[in-house]
Amino acid sequence: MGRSLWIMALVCGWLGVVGIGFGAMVNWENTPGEQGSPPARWPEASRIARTGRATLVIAAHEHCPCTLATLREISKVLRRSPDADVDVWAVIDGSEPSEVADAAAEFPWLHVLRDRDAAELRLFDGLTSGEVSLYGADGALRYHGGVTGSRGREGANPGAAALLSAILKHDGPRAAPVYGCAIQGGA
Amino acid sequence: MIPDDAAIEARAQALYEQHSTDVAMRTDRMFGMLIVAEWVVGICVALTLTPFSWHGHVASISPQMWAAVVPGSVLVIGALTTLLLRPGTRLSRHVIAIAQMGFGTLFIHLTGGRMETHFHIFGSLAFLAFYRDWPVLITGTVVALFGNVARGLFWPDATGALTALTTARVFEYAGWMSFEDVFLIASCVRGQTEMRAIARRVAQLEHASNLEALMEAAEESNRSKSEFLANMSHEIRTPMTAIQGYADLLMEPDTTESDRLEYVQTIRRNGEHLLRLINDILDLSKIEAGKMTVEHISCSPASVLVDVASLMRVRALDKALQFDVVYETDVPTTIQSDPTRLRQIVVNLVGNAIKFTERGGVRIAVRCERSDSADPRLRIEIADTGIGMTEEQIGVLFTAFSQADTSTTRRFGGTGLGLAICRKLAGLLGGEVTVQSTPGQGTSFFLDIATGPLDGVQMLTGYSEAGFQVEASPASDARHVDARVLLAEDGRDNQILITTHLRKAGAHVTMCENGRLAVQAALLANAGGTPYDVILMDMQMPELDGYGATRMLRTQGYKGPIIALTAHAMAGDREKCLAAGCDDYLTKPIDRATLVEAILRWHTPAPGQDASADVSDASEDEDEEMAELRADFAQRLPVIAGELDTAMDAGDEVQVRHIAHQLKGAAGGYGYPALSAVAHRVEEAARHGHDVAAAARTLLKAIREAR
Repeated sequence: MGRSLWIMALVCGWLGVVGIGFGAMVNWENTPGEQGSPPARWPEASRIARTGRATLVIAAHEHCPCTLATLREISKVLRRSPDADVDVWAVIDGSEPSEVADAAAEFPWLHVLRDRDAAELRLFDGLTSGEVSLYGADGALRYHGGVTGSRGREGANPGAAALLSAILKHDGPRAAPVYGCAIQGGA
Repeated sequence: MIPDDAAIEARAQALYEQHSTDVAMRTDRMFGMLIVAEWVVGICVALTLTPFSWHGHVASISPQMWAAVVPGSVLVIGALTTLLLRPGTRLSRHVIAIAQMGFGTLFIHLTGGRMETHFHIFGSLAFLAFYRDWPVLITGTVVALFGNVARGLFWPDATGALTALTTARVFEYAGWMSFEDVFLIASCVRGQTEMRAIARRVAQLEHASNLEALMEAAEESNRSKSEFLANMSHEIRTPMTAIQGYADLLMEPDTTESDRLEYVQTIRRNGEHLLRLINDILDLSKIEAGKMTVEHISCSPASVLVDVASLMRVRALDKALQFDVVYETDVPTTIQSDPTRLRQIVVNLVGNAIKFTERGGVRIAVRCERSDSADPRLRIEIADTGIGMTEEQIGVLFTAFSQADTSTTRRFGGTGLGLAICRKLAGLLGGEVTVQSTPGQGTSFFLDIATGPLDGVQMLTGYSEAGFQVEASPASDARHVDARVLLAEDGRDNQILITTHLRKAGAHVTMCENGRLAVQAALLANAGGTPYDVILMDMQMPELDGYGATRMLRTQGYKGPIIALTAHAMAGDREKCLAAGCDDYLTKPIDRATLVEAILRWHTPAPGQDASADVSDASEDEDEEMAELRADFAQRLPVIAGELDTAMDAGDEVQVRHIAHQLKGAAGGYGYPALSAVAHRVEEAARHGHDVAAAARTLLKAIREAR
């Protein structure tokens, strides 16, 4: 094999290794998490107090770094629907101080519920951090799914658009993939 | 394209390539450092934002963290390896472009697609433009777009920069990158154009600078020659002044006989000096024109040294200097060389040694080196205890027209040609002249020459200079010439002079005035069984010149020796005479010793005759006779001047040229070398179509003043 062919082969090999590495990362970012099946009507057993308005419940893993993007995307949705009457609740598993809990405290419109025993998460069947469920004032499920286009990535995406539509048009139910860490499982 | 332009273009191209390589190397180094920094920053960002991914309560290192470490490291390793192995090359530039855009992509993913990190991509393109090689920008753009296109293809719902990564968004992204590329490519092209312009300008300036250096060298050469001419003018004027002054004294009516003799000797001595000067110039011009040829005949180096010693010892003793010749080894009895040129070199070196030594002495040491080898050499060292020289002075010593410094010229005289001639002659003899000197202590010149093969050559052992003096041949001046000589010469004064020299040496001379008569006389003598032993043939004669006469004789089967006499001492004259059929060649003015030597070379005395016999008392008689001849010649000068005047008035250029030619040949022999030189100028003016009348007027004046 000639010298230039060797060089070409080395460069191709190098590009291949880089491509595989980056491919694995992008694939992970864009692979949706497992979604649960929340009840079609507001569960009366929930500890979240209803105020006669629509209620958005966000399932969150206390350490998942992707969840911050979900909160920011919901913040944008709320800005685009200023007249909407929606109570937003973040149900964060565990009770210890965490990055997600700290970040959640910075959103004034957000109510936080630390779900020490994960009972609330089980009630809404939240399996992936960032999985949201919107219930209308009438208690009917209007939207269920994620609000980011991939893991931890802000920006326009089908999930956020569907949520906004559900809030504004009071229709549904709608659904979209969710990207984030698995809340349940492990030890 | 003319050669200068081609040279400038070639130099400009070389400068441009050098500049491009410098730019590439510099930019390579910048990116080398930048990429390492980006690798570190990437890991830090991943550690801060997404170190882990979670599955319930179980944490694992996040794929983004892995990406920052593994593909990030691969990018760094690839880039740095290329920079180390192929710095400044096209390959390194493109690998750098890929790595840089790879880190841009990594940063976008690590920061969750933050809008600001997309600026890294655009900034990187601008950095890549530092290479001023636009294809690198294309590589960078392709790599950046590839990431977007691939994500859009495989994950159409993925978010791009804040919006969904639709096909339209991918194209828009590509459009903005291309927008930047257009400006950066234009910048690269302009940068290259400017680099080419700079390279061309620098090449032009360099060329101009070289021309300036050449001009300076030419001016320096010109200055050197001007200085030389000034020296020459001085050198010529000094003996000329003496000649004119003593000539005036000679004309005083109350001059005694002894004073008259002294004046004539002074005039002659100065004339000889002028002749030497002219010979030096001719020698140098011949050497520089590559026309100087040397003989390689069997000759005795010891005899040459004895000649030189006998000649130079008197001058050394005049200055109360010690003068020794030492033979440090056995020397060959004969070597293959040119004795005349060898003598010329040694005389010059010894002459210099005596000239520059005020106290102490001059020593000639001779040794034969490598006598058993295939290339034996003879080394002659001329050492003095004179003023010595500095390294700087030695540096210009052998340069023609230069002396150690101009003050040397003023103090010691000389033309500054001697050593240049010596070195060149030594080269022609297969050797060299070198020098060692210490200021204030003295100088040693080393003449090394090739001896030719020494197989079978007898080596002389245990001899001394004195021994050679005994063996030395008697001076030619005093040698007897028992020969019948036919002299073909049209000039009356030369006829008288040469005939007198030959008759005083014992020869029987028959004279004829042109080539045709010479041919008749020679063939008649042959037919009569009493051939001439030697024919002296002037080469420029009326009716039939010497060339034609010689050719005619050779055509008729004439075998006897013919010696050419010519007033031309230029390169090629000798060859021209020999080509015509002559056996030897003498230049006018004719020196008696040279004349006798030439006759004896071609006519060996019959057995029993002693070439040196019966002339022991000749010298005094000769002086008297020569003095009479010179007086006769001096008396004829007004007649010659009258003839010249008449010819000039009549506009008879042929006659003017004839008179000049005759005078050129004769005047030198009668001790009027300056007159001979002026006559030569008339001939030259006629030959080159210059103003003959002006030259003739100068000659007329010179003749009248010479009287």
